[in-house]
Amino acid sequence: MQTYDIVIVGAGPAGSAAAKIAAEQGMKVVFFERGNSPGEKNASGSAIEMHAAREIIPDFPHEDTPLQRAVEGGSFWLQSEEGLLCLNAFIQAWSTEKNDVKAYTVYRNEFDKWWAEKAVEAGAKLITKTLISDIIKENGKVIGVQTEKGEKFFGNVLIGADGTNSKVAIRSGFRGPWKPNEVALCVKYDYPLPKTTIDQFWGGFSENSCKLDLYFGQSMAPAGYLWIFPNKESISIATGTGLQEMLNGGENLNYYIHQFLQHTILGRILKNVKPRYYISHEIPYLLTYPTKPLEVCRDNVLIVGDAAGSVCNFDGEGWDSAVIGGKKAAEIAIDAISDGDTSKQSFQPYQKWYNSYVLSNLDWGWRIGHWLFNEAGYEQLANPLLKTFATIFDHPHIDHIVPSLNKNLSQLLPLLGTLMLLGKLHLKPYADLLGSLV
Amino acid sequence: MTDYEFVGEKLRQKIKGLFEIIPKQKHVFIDEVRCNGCENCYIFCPGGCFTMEDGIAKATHIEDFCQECGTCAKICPTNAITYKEPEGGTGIIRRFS
Ligand SMILES: Cc1cc2nc3c(=O)[nH]c(=O)nc-3n(C[C@H](O)[C@H](O)[C@H](O)COP(=O)(O)OP(=O)(O)OC[C@H]3O[C@@H](n4cnc5c(N)ncnc54)[C@H](O)[C@@H]3O)c2cc1C
Ligand code: SF4
Ligand code: SF4
Repeated sequence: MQTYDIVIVGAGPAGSAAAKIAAEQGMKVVFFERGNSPGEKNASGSAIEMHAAREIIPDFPHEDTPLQRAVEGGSFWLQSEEGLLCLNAFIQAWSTEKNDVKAYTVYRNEFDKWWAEKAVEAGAKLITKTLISDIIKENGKVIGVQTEKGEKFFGNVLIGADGTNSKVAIRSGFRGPWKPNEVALCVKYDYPLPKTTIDQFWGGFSENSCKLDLYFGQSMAPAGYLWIFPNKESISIATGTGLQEMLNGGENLNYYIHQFLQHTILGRILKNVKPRYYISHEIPYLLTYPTKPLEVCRDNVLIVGDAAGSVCNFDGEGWDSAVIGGKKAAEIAIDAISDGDTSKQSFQPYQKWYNSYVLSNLDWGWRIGHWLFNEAGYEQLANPLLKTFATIFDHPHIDHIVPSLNKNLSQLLPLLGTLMLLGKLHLKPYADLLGSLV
Repeated sequence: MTDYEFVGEKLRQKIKGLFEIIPKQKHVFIDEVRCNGCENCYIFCPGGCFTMEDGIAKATHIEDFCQECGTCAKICPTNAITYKEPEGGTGIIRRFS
């Protein structure tokens, strides 16, 4: 019989963060990974954010951290019947020449392995190639986990960091499998390209930097968006959509990638390039307006990261909340263990953190998504600007331009007004408000 | 209107060789009695793992094409599909992910 203070299922961003923090505080920790090594089963964009990484590793990044490119900006591409509008933003504050990097692109198979090694160096025990198939209960309370081979591991606290299809969350009764309106499916292709080509089309201010591309358009991503994340010597092209939207008349996601390559310059850039990798993975995508937070702790057990659905439902980013959530869960578990009380009640500070951090992301995501797709409609946003450009080029006489500018741009004002209102609401610590309701 | 160019066998042809799998056992199952032939799994599976035979879905290419997303079980209207993770150390291996 093997007994630990803390048993963690999953060696992704959340699990390894929790394992490192707990092991550093002297806890006896074991964490499990079903792949041959951490990251082998995982996928993402993937932009990892510095502020979250430094919560776990204060002097992040190290010299041997496997990073791809620093993110210095982004382009929004909005497709409408008038054409394709590109809003290009290279943000001074993100320039890595003068400032600290905000985010990096990474390959998860390399990065997650490195990330888990930090937990192992702190003293946590990592067991790979092992699928946890069930939890063990005694008198209705979770006391450990069981591997598919029947081996048992017991702990005071169990942390479920086992991703979107989390067995810990489902078997412990937190939730059922995600419903079609709670999860999105993504597919992604990796295309090798020469560094110079990537610098030319996606390069930022400094060496090894980039901008990300986000494409919104009915023909390429009817209910979501399509994105391009540049690496050192490859780009990844991906798209995703909620399962419910897919069922409501959508196509296999590969169809949209194909459409995109047919109708944009990417098709020409990649004309003679064969993709070298194909990936697909789900992301929780809680589209329902977050009025009632998911329960994330019960007696002896906490769930974090994708297992707890902590992904922003607009941009699909979940790395930061997985990592910070892993840390919070570990800290609260340590306190509970040292107080000798690992009941649901003792974990309430974790639920409170979740209700404020995760729910405010969901709330923001829902609002901005609703604004872009429904209220403003990105077509309505793109049309006036595209029409303005067309007028300028078609009628080079000032008498035509001024009324056209007035007419087209005035259509934008109410939309910008609602956007600013959204910004204000988000700045206000909405989180605290929600937190106090629970 | 479903474009069958990106479904099943045709999708498998397009993505063949673009990932690695350590095959061991089948880990997605269909209860054929429950299947109503709606084609959801067949159309949306990102691995092209299903084949329709006489109006019934068959999980014909799990060992060599399954991406382990778990979507099929969630979109089956009759709960005919059981999705399990493959044994530890087997299944899909991702690089450049
Ligand atoms: C295509 C795509 C693009 C994305 N892009 C971004 C992005 O740019 N930025 C961002 O912030 N987020 C992004 N996300 C979301 C982000 O990847 C996730 O939110 C994040 O990985 C969640 O981390 P996690 O540790 O909770 O879960 P995971 O990363 O899924 O890790 C769970 C781990 O547990 C293991 N595991 C699962 N079950 C078991 C079991 N029973 N036994 C043993 N081990 C098990 C898995 O193998 C895995 O290693 C993206 C997601 C996808 C799919
Ligand atoms: S888990 Fe995903 S890839 Fe595998 S059969 Fe189901 S839908 Fe297809
Ligand atoms: S989704 Fe379910 S009911 Fe529909 S074809 Fe597949 S197995 Fe049959």
